[in-house]
Amino acid sequence: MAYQFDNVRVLVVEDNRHMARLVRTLMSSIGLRNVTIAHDGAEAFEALMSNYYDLLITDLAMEPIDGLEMTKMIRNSSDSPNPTIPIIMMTGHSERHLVEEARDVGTTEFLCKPLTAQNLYKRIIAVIESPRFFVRTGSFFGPDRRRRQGGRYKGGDRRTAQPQAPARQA
Amino acid sequence: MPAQFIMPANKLKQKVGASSLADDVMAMGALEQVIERLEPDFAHVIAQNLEDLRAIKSPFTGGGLAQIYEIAHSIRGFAGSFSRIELSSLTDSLCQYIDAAQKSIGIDERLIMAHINAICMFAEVGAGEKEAAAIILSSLRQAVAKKMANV
Repeated sequence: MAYQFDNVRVLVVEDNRHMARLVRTLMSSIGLRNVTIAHDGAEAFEALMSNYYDLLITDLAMEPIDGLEMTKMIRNSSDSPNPTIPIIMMTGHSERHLVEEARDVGTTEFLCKPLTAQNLYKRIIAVIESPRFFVRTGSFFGPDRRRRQGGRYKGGDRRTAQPQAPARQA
Repeated sequence: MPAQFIMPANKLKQKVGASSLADDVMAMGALEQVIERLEPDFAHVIAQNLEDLRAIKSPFTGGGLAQIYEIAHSIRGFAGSFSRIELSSLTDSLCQYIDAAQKSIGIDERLIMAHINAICMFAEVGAGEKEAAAIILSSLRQAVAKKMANV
């Protein structure tokens, strides 16, 4: 039994028309035919206001509103119609340092370019099969940023352990 | 404010149902085939990009630098998907240099043109010259690093 993507609506946010076409074609080949393209964050937010989407795939670098700013708006804006929509952010291969920033604005999954068939499909499966808790704190709303489950760390728990004496200065 | 944990309803899962490993492998195979089928389109897009790059006479006039960056950025994002890693890496180096140069070190036209020439050359010779591309890429990256170290 394969996934039934017939009723799934995807919003792709990509300012490069060739990349947008590539993503749309790839989606279509696995049955995701209900794909809308927006060319920047502002256009995407408007699209979200007028339609329900199940999944959003976005480029990071766009103007005037980039993928980071758009994700912040979707997660935190009081008029956001779907603050928990899964967001897959595509980042260029030299922009790995931006992954942390993308994580901190509430990105669900990252897809490092080059965009390959395998990577794209794996991220879609991750969103479907491994949904993450959303965390709301005073300064953050988004998927839980802790991806690794503990187990290897053998030391004490700093938040619950007794305070230790400061290290002696040499 | 104490952290609140919320598990939103997984509407996507409800809509798509389940899949088996065999189906996933088939889906990935289908995606690979799509990329293969799109290769002629990719070649056409790259040819168009190269024509646009060559038409730019100088980074310093008529918004040349912004155009160069835009074209390089476009090739960078696109080339890797078609296994043209050397093109993707060369355009990445150019984008990184322009980013850094604009912020602090000023633009060296020769370094920009060296990148453009390398991009045009390897786009035309195809994917078979990976070793030569790696050597040139390494030289360009060293030149960029040297420029940045001299700031």
